[in-house]
Amino acid sequence: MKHPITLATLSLAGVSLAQAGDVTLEIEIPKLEVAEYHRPYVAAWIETDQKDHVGNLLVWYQTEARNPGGEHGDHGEKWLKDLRKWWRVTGRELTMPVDGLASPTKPAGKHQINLTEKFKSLPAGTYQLQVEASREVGGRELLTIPFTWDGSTLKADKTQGTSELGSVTLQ
Amino acid sequence: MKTKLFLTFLAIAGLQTAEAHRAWVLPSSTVLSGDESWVTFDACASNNIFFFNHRPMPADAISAVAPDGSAIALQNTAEGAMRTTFDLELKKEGTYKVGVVRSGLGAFWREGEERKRWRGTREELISQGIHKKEGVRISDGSSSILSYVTLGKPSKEVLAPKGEGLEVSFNDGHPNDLVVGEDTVLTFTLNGKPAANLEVVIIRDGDRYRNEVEEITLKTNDKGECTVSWPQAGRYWLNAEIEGEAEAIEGIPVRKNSALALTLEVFPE
Repeated sequence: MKHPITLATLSLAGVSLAQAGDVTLEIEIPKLEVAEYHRPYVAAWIETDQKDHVGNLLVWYQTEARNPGGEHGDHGEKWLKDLRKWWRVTGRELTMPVDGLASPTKPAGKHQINLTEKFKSLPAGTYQLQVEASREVGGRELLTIPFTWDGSTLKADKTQGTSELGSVTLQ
Repeated sequence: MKTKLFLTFLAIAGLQTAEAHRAWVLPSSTVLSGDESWVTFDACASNNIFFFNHRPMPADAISAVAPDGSAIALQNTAEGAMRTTFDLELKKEGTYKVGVVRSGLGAFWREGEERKRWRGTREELISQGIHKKEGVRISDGSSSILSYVTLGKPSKEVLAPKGEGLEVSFNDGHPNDLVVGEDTVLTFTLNGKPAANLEVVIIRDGDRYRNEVEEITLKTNDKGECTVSWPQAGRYWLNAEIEGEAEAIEGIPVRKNSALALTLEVFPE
């Protein structure tokens, strides 16, 4: 019963069995009808089922300052701490931007990220995917997807956000 | 200048008792990212937590220490009628300590209708004969009114107790790493020794919108430790005081007072 959540949820709908080795993360950013909209900052990372940090997958933020070199030139990184969980777990240890991790914010819609290469170095085991989103003058949402990885095959659930994230699928 | 002198004396003597209101230094943010950042502060003695409704903190009593232990200058300092404000520009990664740390002797007496106040060292007090004033009350106090802010990765250099007055340590934790759902173990020391059986009061911001103060009252154990379970995210004001007797001066009793006030920010999970 080490992984009760995984076992319990795997028996429900939404189980996906990936083709050998190929791993894709799909993150949906919902379209929001709000007076002032800014694209959310999003981070995704992997933890063990004991909540130990394993590795970062992505950080979407305002990588280019609005006024480079200006008084507030460091505008984008200033709000990274609003990805509160990510900032505490790993963000504050990093010197941004990190190659292969940082990319600009994304518009509303479904975004696929190929994780095949990153998963090649992931030892077989039981993990949790964490996806966190934080929006300027908006809210924050953290989703957790438990998954198992045997080195070539992935078993994971789909999950659905309720505010700042839409569907999130690891397959 | 009357109020300024009065409050300076209170801070010096550590008289943060009920009649002296609650003293605090409040940063606009405690957790910051980026290569550099500004933080603005309010500093005040007030009735309600983090609500300026009484007196400004004397600006010249406030100082800031950078992660490497060096002093950094307060900027845009303004001492208003009810609060003092200032800014700090954080340019180095790590944790900064900002607030008031003071100690010394204070004396109160009356000459006719006039209330007299004095402060200084024990030697100065004796040499000036202050202890011979009629009806004099003497306090030997130490007082810390602190806050911490962190740019990037938290550091611990400025957190180390100095072995002077009443101090609090966060052990394996950090004052800028507090989250609901994780208990925080605090260790209190008085002049470097465990402050056992100490009453620690913690009050959440927003008491002026509540009918009850909802303070958390804790007692330290033999090691000076107590454990805080944060009921919800928000800003908190922590206060602890120790009163006792210091060595008398030529038969005149000296009241000893050590006080600590700390502003903390707790985040949701």
